[in-house]
Amino acid sequence: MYYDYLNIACLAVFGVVFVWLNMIAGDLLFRPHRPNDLKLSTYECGEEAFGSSWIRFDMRFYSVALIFVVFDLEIAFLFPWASVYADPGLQGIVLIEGLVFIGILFLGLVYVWAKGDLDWIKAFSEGRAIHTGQHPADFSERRRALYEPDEPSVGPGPAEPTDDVKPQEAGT
Amino acid sequence: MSVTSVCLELGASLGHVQDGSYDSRGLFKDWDWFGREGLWGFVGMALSLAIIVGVCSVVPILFVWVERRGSGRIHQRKGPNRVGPFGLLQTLADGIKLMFKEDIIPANASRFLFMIAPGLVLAGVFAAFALLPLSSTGVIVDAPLGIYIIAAVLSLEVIGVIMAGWASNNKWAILGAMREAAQMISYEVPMGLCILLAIICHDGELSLRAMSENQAGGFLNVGNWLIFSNPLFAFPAFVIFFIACLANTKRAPFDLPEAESELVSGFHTEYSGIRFSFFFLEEYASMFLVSAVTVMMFLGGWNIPFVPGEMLTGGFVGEVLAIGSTLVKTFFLVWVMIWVRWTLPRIRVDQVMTLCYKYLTPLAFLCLLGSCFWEA
Amino acid sequence: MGALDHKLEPTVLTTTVDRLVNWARRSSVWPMTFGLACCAIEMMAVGAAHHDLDRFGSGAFRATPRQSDLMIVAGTVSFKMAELIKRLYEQMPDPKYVLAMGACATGGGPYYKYGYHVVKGIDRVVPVDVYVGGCPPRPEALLDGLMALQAKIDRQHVITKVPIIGAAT
Repeated sequence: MYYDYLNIACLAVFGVVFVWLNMIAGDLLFRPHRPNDLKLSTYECGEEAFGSSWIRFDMRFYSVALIFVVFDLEIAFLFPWASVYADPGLQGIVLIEGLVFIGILFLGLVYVWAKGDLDWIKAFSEGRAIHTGQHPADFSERRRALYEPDEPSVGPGPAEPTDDVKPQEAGT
Repeated sequence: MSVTSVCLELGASLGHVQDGSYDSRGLFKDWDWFGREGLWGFVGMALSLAIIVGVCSVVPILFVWVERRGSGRIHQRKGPNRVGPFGLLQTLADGIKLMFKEDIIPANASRFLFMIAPGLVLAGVFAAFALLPLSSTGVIVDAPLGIYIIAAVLSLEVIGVIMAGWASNNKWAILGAMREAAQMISYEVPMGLCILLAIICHDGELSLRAMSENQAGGFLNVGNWLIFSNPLFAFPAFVIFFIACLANTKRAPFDLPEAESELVSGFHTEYSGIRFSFFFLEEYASMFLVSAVTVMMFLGGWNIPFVPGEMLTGGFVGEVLAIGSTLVKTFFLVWVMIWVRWTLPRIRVDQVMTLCYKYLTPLAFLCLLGSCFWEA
Repeated sequence: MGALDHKLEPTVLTTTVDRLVNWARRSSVWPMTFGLACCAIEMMAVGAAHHDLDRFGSGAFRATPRQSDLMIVAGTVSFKMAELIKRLYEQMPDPKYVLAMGACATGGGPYYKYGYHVVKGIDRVVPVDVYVGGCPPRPEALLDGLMALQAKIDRQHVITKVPIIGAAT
């Protein structure tokens, strides 16, 4: 029975070998091979490549990976539980155990959600997505804050320019 | 699923296997590949490799043709029709052309990783194909851990993709690879939850073959299909699983990693010729794979309406019927994937994440809890 | 370089291989998603439903030069752009083809005399396989250009020796 898994591993290795065999076959036959400096340069929409691409990356990918690791590991632990779920001798215990475990997992999701880690656009999520319920991609509030006066003007006539819009007139 | 957890699980399950409670029915199960049977083992291995390579090559050829003709029909145009009858040889022509096209490895790329990445991507698909049953004996390796290992080896693809993107040393490639990684691992969470649901509903069976056998019988041999026997929770889970599959195989509307309008070609921007075609091949092969898994778990496996379940698990005619019915159901799901691709526009990257974590995951949790009570 | 390129005498076997590879190459000429000016609009029309470039297997517009076979230079090429076109052309893997679409790409077009900023024909920068006239050319003209390219690919030699030009064949 151990051999079953060895067979699978063998097939997986063959996946790599298959690519290699194809490359060798094409190279031996008649695949053209005419490299030059320009051809081997990095593609950047026709422009000369600008610096290296091996750069530091946005934090949000890291937080997604962290969330995944937590959930996926928990799900991996749930597999043995699911496979004995139908066992008649364990019925009640298994159900309660599962409920507790899944409940804790769900609490984790709620926590991450409330902390705003599930929001892809981080810049506006602080204090907005959580407390006002506004979608983080909704720019209307920000626009209002920038271009419209905070309070309605008193009396007739056009609104006074606010400090935000015309700072040079603030003193007048 | 990480590979480490598979190893852990492997150890735990071997006891279950060795006490004889699971009878393995793989095509070459008596032909021990390594040793005892000598030559026959080697023949068995060679045959399995031939079957897998054949299926992995023919399936994408067929699906690419269906995709191009189907998209043509959806756009009210003809699609490829110059090469062979109805353009059937179109994909073959593409393949031969790519085979004899120059292979470029950029000077700034990390050479070894660049070369090994397509192989890694393909390795997962090959291993998963070995575990995929089409009928009760039509499976190359009938492992009792079926679905668990399939989920594990399919997520090998992420590693290959990140490797390809990183090794290319190209900004589009690395952006696409990171997006793809974030998307694929995120969608594995609802996917895993739906798999758990299916295991619970199928009396704790992890093997896809056993799951399918479990769905025989009932009203007109349809009543025991999971989506009908547990309509309140398994049907939403089926929909969630299918959406997660779309995202995992990076099909539209989740094709952000390869979005042409923003990321050129995503992680395979620098790949040319035959190396690129391996990524292409893998995409279509994994479409087939996830559809077949969906069929096995939710859509009754090889069971056909009006045909009694016992008839499909024994005898030559039964086997052929079973393989046919599995293939028909799988092809239908693949067609739905193609249909969705040419119908829906691409969604934004933040919407992808929102859909996964704020809608699908809680919903999958609810379905899982619900079916715990349903089955209890 | 493969072991067999252009090295064998033309026999039944080698010419059959030549024909097979040429058939594959002509049946799947993937153009690059790349437009410069108004001709690009006509190029898009060729890809769309009414004229449907996909019938010839060329509907798969690839966004990256690494996966494309054909560069359709669709429109006016300014000197600034010529440098980029050169680099894009070089970044395509062999075998690669160039189609000059419209009067500007073919020979400067209306900018020939006074256009201080326009390259007088893209063939001064990259080798061109097919020229398509018109300002801009109709979609049918581009389809005709594609078929001309296919005819050209059909005459290629892959593993048989290339005959000396002018010699009796």
